[in-house]
Amino acid sequence: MSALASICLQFASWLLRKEHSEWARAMHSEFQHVGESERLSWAFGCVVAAIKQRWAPMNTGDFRISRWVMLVEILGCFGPLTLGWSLFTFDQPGLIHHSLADVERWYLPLPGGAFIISMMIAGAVVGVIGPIGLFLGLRYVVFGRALESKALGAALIGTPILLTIVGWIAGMFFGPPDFRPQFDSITFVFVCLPVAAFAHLMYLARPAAPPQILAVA
Amino acid sequence: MQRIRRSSGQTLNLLRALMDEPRKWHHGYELSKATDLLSGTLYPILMRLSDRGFLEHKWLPSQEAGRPPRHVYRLTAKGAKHAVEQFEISDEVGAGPKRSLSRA
Repeated sequence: MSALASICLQFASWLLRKEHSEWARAMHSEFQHVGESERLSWAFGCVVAAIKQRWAPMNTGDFRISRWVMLVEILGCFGPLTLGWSLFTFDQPGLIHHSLADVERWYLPLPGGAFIISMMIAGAVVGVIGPIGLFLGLRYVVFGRALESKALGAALIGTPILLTIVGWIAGMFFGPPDFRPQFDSITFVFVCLPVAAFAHLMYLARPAAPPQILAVA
Repeated sequence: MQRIRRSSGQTLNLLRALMDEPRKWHHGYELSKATDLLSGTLYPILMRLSDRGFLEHKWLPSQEAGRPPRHVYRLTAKGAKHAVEQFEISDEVGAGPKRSLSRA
């Protein structure tokens, strides 16, 4: 047990950066004065404290995270959509390479074919929010400029949500017989993640909250 | 209208423990016992109070032979003033110090 506690304390010291090394020493020193039965929980607590301390600069409670973390978020939220959109649209046999004859020959005769091709076209158009999001996100990472336009933000958030809902409803009436609206990983990656990231970019455009936040008359 | 941040119940508990004997130096384990705060909650609050200039700390030799020196804490004058303000706010809004909030 003492070995585990010792590992916890070492881990806490490692987590706390150089500027908090005194606190790491304080925790370690105090550990020597804690009762035997409480030592392990004390050591675990020190790890929790260190994690909180490491997290604090990134999370000030208002989602104003570091730009490096934001870079990861942007790549994670817009990267898959951008890649999927570009392959789906431009790669062989991407949508852009479909001729009207192809559509008439391969899609329209199918049950729900008109719905499928309509959703493909709509997806190709709406999917452009992927590269737009990537651009806006990287602009924030590099220049610190968030998504200031509320109208643009609302459009970027609302459009994929609207397309999803319309697609689900239209699919029930005009889609293939086996069509069932479902929230799957595709919806999560191509709709939820980009929407969340756009919302975050809009949030970052708000002026930072003053240090004193609760109003008391 | 004055705008001021209200401390969490946990921070209030800690401030009360420190204000019970404001000139005395308190060590972490003692504060943990007095406030029922575990080390994972206690130290982040201590660090935050220290960063904001509300808390001073130093090392004191242990009174027990063979034990390492202890890191001890007490409120600064600014910290004591802040504590009093927080107690007043707590009384005004009716949130007792025992009430646990999510953030300090």
